[in-house]
Amino acid sequence: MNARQEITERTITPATDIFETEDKYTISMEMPGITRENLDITMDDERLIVSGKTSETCQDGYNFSEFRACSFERTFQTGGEIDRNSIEARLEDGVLEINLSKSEEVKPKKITVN
Amino acid sequence: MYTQEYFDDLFRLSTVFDNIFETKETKRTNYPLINVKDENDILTVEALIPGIKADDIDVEIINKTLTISGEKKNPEKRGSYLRRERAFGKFTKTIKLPYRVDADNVEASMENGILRLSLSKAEDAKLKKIEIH
Repeated sequence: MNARQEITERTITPATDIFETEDKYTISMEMPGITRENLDITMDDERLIVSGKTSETCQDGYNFSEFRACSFERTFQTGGEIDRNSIEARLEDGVLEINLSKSEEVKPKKITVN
Repeated sequence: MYTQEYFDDLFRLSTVFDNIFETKETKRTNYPLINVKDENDILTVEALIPGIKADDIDVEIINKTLTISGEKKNPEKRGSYLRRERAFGKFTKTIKLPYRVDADNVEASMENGILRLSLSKAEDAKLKKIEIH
């Protein structure tokens, strides 16, 4: 029960679930207090970087505090597997969900045997 | 001469009770994480509960005890897991408040995954100045 006295670090690595299907990856991240305006999602050829700032959980003057987070940040190594033109992101109830389509080269192909 | 850290002491007390009443169903007693501010006889309690709808949260105030409980439902699985860090299921957290609050006058909102409660100090818990004649 000592966790109650520990105050969480200022930059949080958000808890994340990642799912994979044949044609896409879905990333689901917990980012409470983050709004669309304060969220950045960038992608280069091998990494997806998600970061967000929040003032809501970054205040001083609490009489009792279990968390303090001023920003969230996480980097995902994606390699060249992602079709960068079809990335979808949705933010709802403090959970960010990103859908990444796999590029054609890495999608499983059905090979017909003649 | 010393100043009593009344918040610290009272909140520490609640952890003792949590341990006694801990059951299998409510094992994750430190979820959700909270922040409490006491300002001008208003207690503001913020709890981080991303991924939950307001309908799935219950807030209960009995005397000086605040209980936040609910169920964080696991959304439909979208493929096979490559990484699994998020936790789902039922949770209950109880804290002891530093003073009694007016249970009929509670403001609650849920925004961007943060539950925010505004609790006013009960009238009979406020300091009363006694006139000397």
